[in-house]
Amino acid sequence: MTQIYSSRRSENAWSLALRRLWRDPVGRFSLGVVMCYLVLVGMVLAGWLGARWNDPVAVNYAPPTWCASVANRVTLPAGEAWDRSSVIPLYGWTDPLEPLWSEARAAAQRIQPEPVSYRLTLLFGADKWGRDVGQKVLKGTQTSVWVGLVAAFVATFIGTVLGALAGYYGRWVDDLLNGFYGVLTSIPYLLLVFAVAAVFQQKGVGTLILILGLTGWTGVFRLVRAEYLKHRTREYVLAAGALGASHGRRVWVHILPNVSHVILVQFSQNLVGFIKSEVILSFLGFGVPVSSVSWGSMLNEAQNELILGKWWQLGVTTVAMAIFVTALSLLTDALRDALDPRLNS
Amino acid sequence: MNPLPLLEVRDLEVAFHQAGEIPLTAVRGVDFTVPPCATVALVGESGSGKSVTALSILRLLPESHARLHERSRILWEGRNLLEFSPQAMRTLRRRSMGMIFQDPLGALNPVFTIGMQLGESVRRAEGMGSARQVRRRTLELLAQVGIANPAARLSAYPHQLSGGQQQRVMIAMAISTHPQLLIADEPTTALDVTVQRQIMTLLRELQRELSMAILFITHDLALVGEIADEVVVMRQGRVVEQGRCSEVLVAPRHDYTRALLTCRPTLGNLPARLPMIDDQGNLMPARDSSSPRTPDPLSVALEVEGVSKSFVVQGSGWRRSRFQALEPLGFALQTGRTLGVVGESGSGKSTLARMVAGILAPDTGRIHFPGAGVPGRSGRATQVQMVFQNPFASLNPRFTIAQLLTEPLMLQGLGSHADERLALAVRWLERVGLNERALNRYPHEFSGGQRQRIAIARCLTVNPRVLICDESVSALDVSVQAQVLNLLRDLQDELDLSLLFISHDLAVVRFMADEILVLYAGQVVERGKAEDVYARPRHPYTQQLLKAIPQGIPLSSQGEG
Repeated sequence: MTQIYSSRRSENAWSLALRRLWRDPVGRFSLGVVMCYLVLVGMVLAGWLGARWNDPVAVNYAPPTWCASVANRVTLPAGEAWDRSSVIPLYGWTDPLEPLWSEARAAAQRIQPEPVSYRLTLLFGADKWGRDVGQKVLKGTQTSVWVGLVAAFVATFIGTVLGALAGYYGRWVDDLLNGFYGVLTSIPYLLLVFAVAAVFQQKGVGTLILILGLTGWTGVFRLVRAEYLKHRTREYVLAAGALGASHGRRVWVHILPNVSHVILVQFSQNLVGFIKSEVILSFLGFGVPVSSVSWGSMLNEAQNELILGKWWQLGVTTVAMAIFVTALSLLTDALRDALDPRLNS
Repeated sequence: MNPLPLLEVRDLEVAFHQAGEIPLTAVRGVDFTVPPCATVALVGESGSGKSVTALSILRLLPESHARLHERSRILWEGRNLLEFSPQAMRTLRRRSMGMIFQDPLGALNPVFTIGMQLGESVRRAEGMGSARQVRRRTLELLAQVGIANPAARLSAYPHQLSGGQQQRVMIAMAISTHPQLLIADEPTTALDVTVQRQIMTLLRELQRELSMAILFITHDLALVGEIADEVVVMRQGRVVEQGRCSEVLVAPRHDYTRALLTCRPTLGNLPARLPMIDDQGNLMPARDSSSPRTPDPLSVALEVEGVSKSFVVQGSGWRRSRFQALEPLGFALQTGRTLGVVGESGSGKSTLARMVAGILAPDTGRIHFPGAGVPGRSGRATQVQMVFQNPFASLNPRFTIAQLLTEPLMLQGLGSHADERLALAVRWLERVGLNERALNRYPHEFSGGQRQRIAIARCLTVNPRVLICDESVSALDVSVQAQVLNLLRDLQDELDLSLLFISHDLAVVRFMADEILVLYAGQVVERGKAEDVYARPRHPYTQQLLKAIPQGIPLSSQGEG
C-alpha cells in the first residue's frame, strides 16, 4: 500500500495553537504586552529595577515634572550647629555625663552632615512621604503580578486535581467533592476571603496567595470535572484501559494533555481575577503589609491623596494596572480561540 | 419530457479560503442536471465534494470562506441562482426546496414539541392563520410520512422519538412547503438498516405522490439503486461518471465506479479477499488468498458463560431503575475462527464487546480464556484486544505514533528497553502497511484508514489471541473498508487470531464470519454457522434484517435479475 504523508514537519497540538495565536493580531499584541510585564516583574524580582521604592527622594507630594513649572530641586539646610549656650545651666554641679557628651560632640564634629537634596518634581510625582511613584509602581506591579501568578498556580493545581478525581472516578468521590464545592461556593466570596484571612491572622504576600488560591479553585474544578466526565468514556481512554493502563495513568498521562487547553485558559482567567482581587483586598486592608507595596495598597493611599488634589499616584497605578489586565483578558480570549479544538479543521 | 430541467449545475467550482493558508478547492468543474420529478443520486466517499455541491445549490456555504468560480452557474428553471438577491433566494428555498440531513436530532430544536416545529413551517409555507387549519395540515403531514397516531405525537419532544421517527418528522417539515426539489444529504446513514429500508420506501412513495425531484446524496452505492433514476459519481471534487442508474450500476464504465461496486462485500459474492482502490482511484484486483485455513477444532480461545449486564438509569427525581442491556448469554470462540455479532443500535453488542475486553465488568457469568493462566486484570490485555469504531477517537491525539505503539509494550512489560520496544513497534507498523516515517507523527496527520490500521497495530503489539472488532470498519469509506477487512483476514491467517467481529452491516459480517450471533434487545435471537443463518434465517427478526439490506440493483432491472 502506498503512503501519502504531508511534507510538513510534524507538529503537536501546542505548536499549532501557538502558530494560530501568533496569526491573530490581537493575540500577538496582547502576548507582547503581557510578556513585557513579565520581563519587568523578573527584573524587579532580581533587584535591577524598583529596589529603591521606599527611599524618600522628593518633597512630599512632588508633582509630575511635565505638569509643574518650578525649579526641579531644593536643598534643605543641614542640621543646625551645636550651640553650647543652649545647654541648661547646672548651678555649679558638674554634669556626670560630661565625658560622654564631649566624646559625642567630638564625633559629631567629625561628621559633616551632607545637605540633603530633595527633588521638587519627579517624572511620575511623589507620594506623601516623598517616595517616587515611578519606583513604587514598578515594585507594586511586581508584587501584584507575582501574587496573581502564584495564587493562580495554586488554585489551578487544586482545581485540576480535585476536578480530575471527581470527573474520572464519579460516584462517591464526585458526590463528596461536589458537596464540598457546593458549600464553598454558597458562601459570599468576600466573606469567605475575610474568614480565611482571619484564620491566618497574619498579613503578607504568602497569606494573600493562600487566601486567593484556596478560595479561587472552584471555577477550575467545575470545568475540569466536566471535561473528565466527557473524556473518561472516550474511545482512546477505553483503549488505554484495555491495553492495561492503570487508572492513574489514564487520568494523568492520557486525559490530562487533552484537557490542558481548558486548564490553561482557566489559569489565565484566574490570573486576571486574582490580580483584581489582590487590589480589592489590599484596598480593604487585608492585603500586603505596610512594609511592601502593591497596586492595591497604592490605590488605598491614593484615596486620601485624591481629596487633596494629588491625583498622580492614582493615575499611574490605574494605567499600569489597566494595561496589564486588559492585555491579559485579550490574551485569554485569543488563547481560547487558538486552543479550542472545535475550531481546528 | 419537459425540455427545461428543474436544476442545472454548470461548471461548479468551489474553493475554501482560510487566512494564511492555500485555498482548498473542494469542487472542480461539476456538471449535472436534475429533471423535474426525477431522482438524481450524488455518490462519493468522504472528501468527494458531494455535500459542498448540495450546499452551494442552497447557497448555504459560509460566504466568508467559500468562493464560487465566476464560470460556475446554477440554473433553477433556467435562471441563475447565483445572481438571486438574498431575499429572492430565501423565498426560493422556502417555497421550492426542502432539505433533510443526516442527523435529525441535531436539526430539530430540542426545546420545542414536534407539533410546534412542524406547525411553524406549515404556517410559513401556507401563510394560513387559523390554528385549526394549521393543526389539520400538521396531522395530515405526519400521517403522510407514516407516523402512527399523529395526534398523540404532536406534543412529543424530539428526544422522545426514535431516530426513524425523527427523520420522518424532518421529512414532513421538508415537504410541508410542497417543494419541487428535495435535497436529502445522507438521510439514512445514522439509522439502522431496517429503519433505513422504511425511510427509503417512504421517500420513494412521497416522490410519486408529490411529484417532486430528489437530489439524493450518499456514500452508499448500493442504496442508489433503490431510489435513483440517475447517478453522478464524484471523487475528489470531480465527476468521474454519470448516467442512468440502470446503466451505471449494471455496467460501470469508469474504474472507480466499478471499484466502489465491487470492493464492498455483498451477500451473494464471497471472495477470500476484496478488491481495493489505490490512491489514483484505480481498481486493484483481489489477491488470491494463500492456503485455506485449517484451524484446530479442539482449541477454544474464548469462552463466555452466562454473561449479563444491566445499567442504572436515572429516573425522575431520586428514583433509579435498572436497564437490562444484555440477558445472560454464552458462546465459545475457537482459535483462528471468527464469530460475527449482528444487531442494531441498542441490541447490547457493544456492551458484550466491552465486557469481553475487560472494560466493563459483567453482572453475572464468566469470561474465560482457556489455554492461558488465570486471567487477571492486567493479564487480560495480552489475551484480548479491541479495535474501536472510530479511529479518530480511539487514538490519543496528543501522543505520537511511536508513543501509541510502545505504550502497551511498556505496560505489559514486553521488550526489555525502549529501543527494543520501538523496533517491535516498527515491525507491526510495517505489517499493517505503514513505515517507520510514521513514528514521530501525530494521529491527525493520517487518514481514517491509516489510523484504523495503526489502531490494529497497537492491539497486535501485545500478541493477543482474541481481537474484538466493534464496528471497526463502519466509520470508514468503502474503499478503505476493503483494505482494513483484507488486512484483518491476512492477520488472522498469519497469527491464528480469533476474531469477535461486531457490526450492524450484515454483508460485512457475512464476509468475515464463520459463525453468527444475532442480538436483538439484549437477547440472542439466532445463532449458527454463517452460511446457514444467511441462507435459512429462522427468526423473523433475522429475516427482516436480511431483507432490509440494500441490494444495489436498479429498480428497473430488479424484476429481470
